[in-house]
Parts: sequence; structure tokens; C-alpha cells
Amino acid sequence: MKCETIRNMISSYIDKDLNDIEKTELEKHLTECEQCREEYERMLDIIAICGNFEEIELPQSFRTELHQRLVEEKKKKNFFGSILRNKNMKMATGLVAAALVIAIGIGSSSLLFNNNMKMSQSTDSAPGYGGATAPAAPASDADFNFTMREDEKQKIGAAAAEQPQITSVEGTGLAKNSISMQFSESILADRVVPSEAVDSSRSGRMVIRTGNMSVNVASVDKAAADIRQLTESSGGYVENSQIENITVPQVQDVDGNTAVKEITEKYANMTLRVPEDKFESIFNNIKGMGKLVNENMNGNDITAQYRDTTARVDNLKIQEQSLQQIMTKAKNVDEILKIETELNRVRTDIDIYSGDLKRWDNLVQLSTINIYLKELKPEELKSVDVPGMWGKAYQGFIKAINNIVVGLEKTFIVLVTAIPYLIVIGVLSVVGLFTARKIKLKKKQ
Amino acid sequence: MVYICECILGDRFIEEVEGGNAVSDMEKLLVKKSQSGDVESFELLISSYDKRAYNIAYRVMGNEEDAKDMAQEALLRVFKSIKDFKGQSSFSTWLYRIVTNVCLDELRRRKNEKYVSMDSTIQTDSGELHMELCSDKETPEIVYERVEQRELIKRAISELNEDYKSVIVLRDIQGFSYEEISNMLDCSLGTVKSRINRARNMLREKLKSDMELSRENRV
Repeated sequence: MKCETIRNMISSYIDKDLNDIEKTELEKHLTECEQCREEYERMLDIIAICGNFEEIELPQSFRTELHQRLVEEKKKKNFFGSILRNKNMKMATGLVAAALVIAIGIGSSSLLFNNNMKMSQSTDSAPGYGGATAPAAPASDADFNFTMREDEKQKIGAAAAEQPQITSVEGTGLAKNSISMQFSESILADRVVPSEAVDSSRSGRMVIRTGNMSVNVASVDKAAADIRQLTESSGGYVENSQIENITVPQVQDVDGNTAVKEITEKYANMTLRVPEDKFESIFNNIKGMGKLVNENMNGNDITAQYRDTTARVDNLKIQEQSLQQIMTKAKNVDEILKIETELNRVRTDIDIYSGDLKRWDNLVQLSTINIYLKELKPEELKSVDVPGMWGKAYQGFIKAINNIVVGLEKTFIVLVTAIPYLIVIGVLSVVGLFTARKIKLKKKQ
Repeated sequence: MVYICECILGDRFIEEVEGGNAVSDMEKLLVKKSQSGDVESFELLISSYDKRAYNIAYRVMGNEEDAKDMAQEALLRVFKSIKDFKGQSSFSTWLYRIVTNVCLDELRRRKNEKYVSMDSTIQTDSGELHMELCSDKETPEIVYERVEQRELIKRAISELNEDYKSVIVLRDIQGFSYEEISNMLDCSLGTVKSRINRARNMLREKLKSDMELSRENRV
């Protein structure tokens, strides 16, 4: 056997890792070869010395220092443990996902409810009787939906130009849900701009709201009574109510002969004052009492004027007070008379402006609805194609899909918006951890 | 051998022991308690192993300061990851494995850093500082005790690369078996054997030249 091979086997031989054949070979070679034997003994020596290295004792502070660190670690674990531990993370993500789904569901369904109300009216508002058919309605509805957004955009743009007057277009019954309205506003326009669809009380602006509508009903008397009851139960009052019976000659084709018949038509004019916060719901309610011919709503934003006037009144009051003080220093009748005149002037102004304010308060708090009712024979009402149950169901279905899509869009936008923040936070924390670790290890050196 | 144990467990164990049966049962219990975060159980658990862990670190790192840091770091890591210990190996092997890895990682890290900093600090004032750190093997005591074989061997070991160093420390100084070492270093039995072989040969070569040098100096 060559010495080189033997040398490679020495280590294993010392560790008793050779098989019998190799063992005898090696032992035989060692008896013969002095160099190899020396190598063997040298190595045995080294290993023996290594094996005799004494075990050193733990330093005094070792266990106490370690104890400190363990306790610290445990505190850290308790703090982060429940958040970062794997199982809980899975549950947490599950919960978050579930919450998201529920949120989208609620958002879309509430949109759906609001749109349902509008839906029955938008089909009614189709021009002419017997014109609109069920299949056509959903398409126009969807368009209506979409164009509504455009209109809103324009409105908001216009409002952003700070015009106090905001006039709405037909059918602003859309999206009364305040949450979604705010949301779409914040997406479409950077600022939350008050439009007539937003409660003036919520935004702190003074808006005088007025609504006008013309409705064809089956029975004017009944509708008028209903409206009266509705108004009064909501805390408002009927300012004006007028019912007319008008006899009109009408040309009719009866049995092939043209005949002139006298038809009595009934009309009613009503002016309602209703609390501002119930304005829309009452308005929509009344719309649903019959066939809507036309409607409009507007809001007159008088916040600026109101504030100006308030400021004016305050100033005048201060003036009044200072005049009163001067009065006490007056020495003769002449001066007293002059001050009196001035005081009267000021007080009259205060009265006038305060009157204005009170009037405005009343107008703002109670919105006005003007209604024109016309009685229509039931047959004429029926001749309009009202979408049946299936038509409505179909429309509802489409609406729901719309809303879910919109809801998803919004959620997606929120998530994407959040990404930059998450990235920044992630980067900062990674950098932070990295530097902390570096500092720690550098300290050890 | 009757073994009475009353401690943090709050119960009394009285067991007849043949071999280490009670030890491993109690150890399993301590491991469980440590997994749920009990610091006292953990400290009791590692009390049989911490000295040896410290020694492994000492032999690998070469000085007490580093040994203390590395050993504590390793034991802390053991505590942090004890939940992942599934009993596939014995607890001690798993513990020493972490100790070894912590030390070797640190050595490798220092090797990289030293390489860079050496180059860059030659011109600066801190260059001298680095030089001092590098040459802590050349402290006065060791210079005077050069002739001592033991110190020669120690120095030779410290000059080995981390792979050879680790097997020498684990095999020849600490006396672990081939299987245990393959477990701790996470490599095959064959790798362990060949590494030990080459490490010992390398050690031998180093000592040969060191011996000659010391002989020259004496003259």
C-alpha cells in the first residue's frame, strides 16, 4: 500500500471507522513504514491534546445576562405574538376578507334600494303615454344612471366655481345614500362640494330648497288628502291648497260620429312646507302617488348672504351699545336728540336684518313643495305601459350588477390608493430593522 | 437511583431511574413548557447544556468575549424557535447545532467585513485599530508561550477556515460522534468524515511549519 493512501486512512483509523480489511492493511503498513508511523503518532498526539483541552467555566454574568434577554424576548413575543403568529394571521386575513365582502354587499344593496325608488319614476318620466316599453326601460335606465354621473360631475364642477345657485336636472333622486354620494363626490371631484343632494344641515350651509312637480292621479281628492296627511305627519304644514273642477268641452269619436261632450276635469294646486331633512323623501313619496308629468328641484344657497347679514346685525348691535354709552355722557338736550336719532336708525336696521334672518331660517328649515295634481281616468292611466313584475325584476337585477361592479371598483381604488402607503411603511420598517441589527452587531465588536 | 424532583413544575416526581429515562421525560416536559413561553422552564432546560455550548463557542470564536456573545445569542435563538423543535433529533444536538451555526455565521460575516475593511482602512487612522483586532492572536502572552504546544495547536485551529475549524472543535475537542456532527452541520456523513480527515491533515501541516519556526526562534 502506498504511503499516500495510508495517510488518508489514518484519520479514520484513529476514529475506529475502518473495516477489518483496511485496518489490518494499515497496521501492517505502519509496522513497516517509519514515516507513516511517525505521521500516525503525531496525529494521535495532536488529537489527544485537543481532547484534553479543559472546559472553561461560564462567566459569572452569563446566566443573569441571558435571563434578561430571555425576559425581554418574551415581552416582545407577547406584544407581537398575537398579531404575527401564523394561525392568527390566517384568521385575521379571513376576517378582513369577510368584512370587505360584507361592506361591498351593504354598499351595493343600499344603492340598489335607493335606485329602486328612482326606477319607478324614471320609467314614468318617459315621454308620452304608451310610449315606453319594458325592455327599452332598462337600457335607458342604465344610460340614465351613467349620465347622472356625468351630470353630477358637471354640477360639482359648476359648484366648484362657487355659484350659490345650484339647479338640478330631472331625476336627482339618484343616490340618496349619503355615504355613496360623498364617496363618488370625493372621487369625481377632489373637494366635497355641497350639491342639493347633500343635506344643508350636514354641510353647514343654508340652502332654501324648493320642489315643483306635476302629477296625474286617479283621484285628486284622495291624493290631496294623502299629501296633506303626509305633510302634517312629517312635521310640516300645507300652506296652500286649491282644488278646481273645470268643465271642458271635448271632441270625442263615439260610434263613428263626432260628438262634443262636456268633461269635468279636476285639478289641484298645493303648496307644502316640509322640514328640510324630510324634503326629499316626501317629494319622492308624492311622485309615486300617480304618474309624474314633470318635476324639478332646486336649492338656493344663501349661506353667504346669511352670514353677511348676521355679521351686519352683530356690528349694528355693537354700534347700538356704544351709542347707549355715549348717551350717558350726553350733556344737553341737543346731543341727546342727535344720539336718539342715530340709535333709532341703528335699531331699525337691526330689526330689518333680523327679520331677514328669521325669514331665511324659516325658509331653510322648511322646504317648499309646489304640487299640481290632475285627475286622470283610470283607463288613461292604465294605457301607459308599466313594466310588469318580470320587467321590474330584470331591471332590479341589472341594477344590482351595476352596483356590485361599482362597489368593487371603489374597493379596488381604495386598495390601490393604499399601496404607496404600505410600500413606504414596509420600506421604512425594513430599513429600520436592518439598521437596528447592524447597530446591535457593531456594538458587539 | 431514586430521583426526586420538585421544582417549578409544582409536582413531585419520584422515579426509579435506570439510565437517563427520567431525564428525558422531564426534558420533554420542560421543552413543552418552554414552547409555551415559560422562561424559567427554559433556563432549567438549558442548564445542562449551556456550559458546553459556551465552550463550543469559545473554541470556535477563539476568545471569551465573543464566546459569551455568541452563546447567549444562540441560546436566545433556541428560545425563540423552540416552537419549531419537533423532536426529530435530541434536544441537545439541536441546541448545539444552533450554537455552531451562530458562530460560523458570525465568522463568515467577519471574514467578509474584514476583507473589505482591511483594504479600505489602510490609509485611515482606524487602520491601525483594525490591525490590532486582526492580530489578537499575537498578544504578548501567546508570543511568550509560543513554545507551548497547546497554544500552538490552539493558534493553528484558529487559523483554520470555518468548515475545518468547526469539525475539529466538534470532533476532537468536544468529542461528538460523526452522526451528531452531521446533524449539527447539516451535511452528510461522508462529508463529515472527509472534512475531519482534511482538517486534521491541515492542522498537522500547520503545526509542522509552526514547530520549525519555533525551533528557529529558539536558536
